[in-house]
Amino acid sequence: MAYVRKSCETCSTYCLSSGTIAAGQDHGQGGGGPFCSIPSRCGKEEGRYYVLGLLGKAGSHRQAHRRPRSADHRRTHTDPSLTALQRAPEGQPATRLGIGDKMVQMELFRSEEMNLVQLIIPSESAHDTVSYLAELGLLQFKDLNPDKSPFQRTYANQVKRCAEMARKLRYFRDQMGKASLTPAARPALDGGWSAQNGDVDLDDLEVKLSELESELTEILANTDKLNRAHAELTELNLVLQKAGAFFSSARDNATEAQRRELEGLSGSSEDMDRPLLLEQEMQIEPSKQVRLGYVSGVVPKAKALAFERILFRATRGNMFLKQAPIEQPVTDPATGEKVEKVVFVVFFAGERARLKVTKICEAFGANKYPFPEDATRQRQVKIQVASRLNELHQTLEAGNLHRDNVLTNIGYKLEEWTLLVRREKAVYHTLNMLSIDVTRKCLVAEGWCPVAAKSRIQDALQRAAFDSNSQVGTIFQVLHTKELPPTYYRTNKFTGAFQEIVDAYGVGRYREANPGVFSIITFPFLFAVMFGDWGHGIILLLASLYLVLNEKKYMSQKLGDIMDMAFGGRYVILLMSIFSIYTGFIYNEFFSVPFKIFGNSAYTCRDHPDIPWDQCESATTVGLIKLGDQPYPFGLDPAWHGSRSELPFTNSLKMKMSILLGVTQMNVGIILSYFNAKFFSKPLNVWYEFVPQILFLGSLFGYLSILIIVKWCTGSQADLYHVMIYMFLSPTDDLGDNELFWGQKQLQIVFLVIAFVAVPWMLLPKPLILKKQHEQRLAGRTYGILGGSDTESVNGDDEHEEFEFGEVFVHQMIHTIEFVLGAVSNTASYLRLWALSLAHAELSAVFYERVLLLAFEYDNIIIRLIGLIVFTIATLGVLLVMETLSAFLHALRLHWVEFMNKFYMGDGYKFHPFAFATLGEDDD
Amino acid sequence: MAWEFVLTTLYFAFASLVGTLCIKLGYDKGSAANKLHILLVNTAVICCYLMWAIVWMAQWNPLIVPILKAEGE
Repeated sequence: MAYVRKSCETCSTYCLSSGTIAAGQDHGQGGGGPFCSIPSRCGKEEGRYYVLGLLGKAGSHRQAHRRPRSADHRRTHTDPSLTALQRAPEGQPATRLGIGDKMVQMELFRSEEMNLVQLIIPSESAHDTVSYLAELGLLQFKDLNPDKSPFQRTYANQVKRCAEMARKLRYFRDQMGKASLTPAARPALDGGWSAQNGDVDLDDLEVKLSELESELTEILANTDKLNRAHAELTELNLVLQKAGAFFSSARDNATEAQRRELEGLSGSSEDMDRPLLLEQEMQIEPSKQVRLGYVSGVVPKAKALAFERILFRATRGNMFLKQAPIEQPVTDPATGEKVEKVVFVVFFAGERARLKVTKICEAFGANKYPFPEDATRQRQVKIQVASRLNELHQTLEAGNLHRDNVLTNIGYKLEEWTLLVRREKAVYHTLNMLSIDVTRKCLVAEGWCPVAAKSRIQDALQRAAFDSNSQVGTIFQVLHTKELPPTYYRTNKFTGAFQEIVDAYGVGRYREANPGVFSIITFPFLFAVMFGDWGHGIILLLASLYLVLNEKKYMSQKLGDIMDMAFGGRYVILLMSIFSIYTGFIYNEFFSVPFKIFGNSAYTCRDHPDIPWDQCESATTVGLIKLGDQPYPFGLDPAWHGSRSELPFTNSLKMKMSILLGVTQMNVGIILSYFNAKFFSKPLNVWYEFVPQILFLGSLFGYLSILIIVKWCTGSQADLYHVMIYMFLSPTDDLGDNELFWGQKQLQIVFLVIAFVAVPWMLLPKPLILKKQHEQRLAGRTYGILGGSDTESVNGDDEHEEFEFGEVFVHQMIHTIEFVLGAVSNTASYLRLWALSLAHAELSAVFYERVLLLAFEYDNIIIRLIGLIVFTIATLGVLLVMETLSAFLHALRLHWVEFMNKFYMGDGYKFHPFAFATLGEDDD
Repeated sequence: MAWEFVLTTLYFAFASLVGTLCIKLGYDKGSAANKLHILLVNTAVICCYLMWAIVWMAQWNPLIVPILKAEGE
């Protein structure tokens, strides 16, 4: 242990001499391992020096230290000084960013706090360390050699080996596919990495794989050869059969003709029946007949015609082709495919013709087979071919059996090996991102990890060091950087789907307010406002419940594109359906049929309350009358449905509701911008953006919302359009009939002034103050503290940011114009809630009345059935699929544009930890 | 006065309270997660309440009344 003390002294002296505060008490942990602890306050360079110094000495002390280290290993896990060490750097960024730890942050509202950490890993345990970290999956490695090409990197060779092994595995898989075998199911991963790594070593696996590959290629080559021989013999057999038939029939004909000729010659008079001169010439002399050559073989049927033509041309007609199609397609020896073929025999005269014919045969891919003329030899050959075919067949079967055996054996392990190789390749790929030290004794890794996961990472590092019998542990330290950390939300399967909706627009800036938190409720709610029908909602609910309840089954399966999308959003659909059931009750629609669930209608006949509506005469002329003060207690009165005034009433209601909901949501967005400004301690954003914005929106559309509510509550007949328009055109005019409350005119003037003041308030002060602050900073810098933060900044961050007034001003101007114009257009944009819910209600009413009711007027079962089927298809196809999609898209837009542009930057980048769990199939 | 409105508003407030208590007592997943869950429950209740209140108020003092369609219309 003397060595341990010495090493710690080395460090502290070095750190002290470099001017940083390195307190000796941090080394208390040194008792656990030779140098498990390095004070985080020592900068990057100090740390490296420290390790190098130690590594130089470690070699000589290796033997001496092995035992104490292992014995102390367990103790280090529970060493209290370790936890104290971990806590120290965690507090730092929190205070730096101005977050008090007195309040627990709401989950998901801000992304996880991240730290840039540096690992100094002894090279002998580097591989294990990286794989343990990948198993944990909480560290995103930074590429420290971006300028190096993949071939220049340290572990390029290993990556290549892994790629080669992956190729072999793919080859096995292909061969198994060809032999229609399936690899055994993937082994359960509960054994973890170490267990997997334990029974298969990569080097052994490599040897084994290449052995298996050569075995398999040999088998396959043999099988291939045998197959070719088999196919050739089969073709020869066919040629023997078919051509044999030609020859025997030809011979029969020839002997017949000869006999007849002989008979003719002897029987007739010599002068008269002697053949003409020409015929005589044409007659082939018996001596020449013998020298007539022929070639027999097989040609693909598709080429047969062209083959004949070319032969004819090439020999100028001096040939005779005899063909016989083969009934069944035969295997082509060259390609191994089944092809329809024709047996041919070409007769020709002369050696030159033979050459030509041979060449043409080659060109047409025709296989030539020798055909013995002699009948006895033919028989011999036939017998030979048959026996050889039989032999070959047996050999082939035995070969295939052997191949299948080999492949099945591979199949048992294939998935495991594939997984192992994929992981190994990923590990080496990651190792390539680490920078290797000049002495090659340790590797330096940098990466991002969530602050909350630091203890788990340290634990993994210790386990890795222990399991790889490394002399020295990995050094883990936090670096301070100006670089923006990645955004990481700890989502679960429920919140994940909603977070993805937000991330599709843009990944949030590090630790900014997450709109996903609100979207979990407001997104399905706005969807439901457009999709209000509790009948449709129940169907949607059943569908999503089916997906949710069977999620275990579907999780392991590969689904189609659309199904995959529906499955991924199952919790979104679930909430959407629950809210649409609620809004369906509010709109009082069940497949567009109203129900009197919450009591009788508030409206009665004008003549007498007890007269039923269908006997009430005035109901169709002047309408029903509301009885008492209270309206229908929950949702829309069923009396409206199907009445002549239904559309005017629901349109006015839904339009105003859209405005009210929209103004509320936009205000929530602006309030979130306040939280952001507060969190990042930017008072300028509070006073010169948040305050004028909320005043501007409030004085125009907040006022409109108040007017709407006042009008509803008082039953006033005032024209709100008129009020709003003349508020701008002539604010001093008397409102007349349109006055809703006392002092409205004065209030309007106040609001108008606020709105007009808010615009320059948003535009001018912020850039001017920024400019002033920048100038002050510049002025202060002349006499500023020199190098106050030299140990803080790593990676050469640029301390002095450029300040361009014009740019800042233009940016602010765009922002202001966007907000002012957006206030109008975004409010108008919320009217899509009205439009889509109107469309939904009308469509379902049309399907119900014009299809279902019309069909049921007939007393014919077939017409009713057809009506029912058409109604069902229309409801499912149009309302439940198309309308769901369009309402989804519009809800998406309202969130992305109208809500999120009030506060959301969305210019961060996602946290991608290196994890085995996320290694995809295509990472091979 | 609109006693029904006040009553139903109380119902909604009660629902929000019950939801919050349920999370605090029955579904305790730690302080950070509880905050999120309480926010979700209350956002949902507020959304539902807004919609109900809007529809209720719109029907409170109607300017137009339902005029039924005559036979065969």
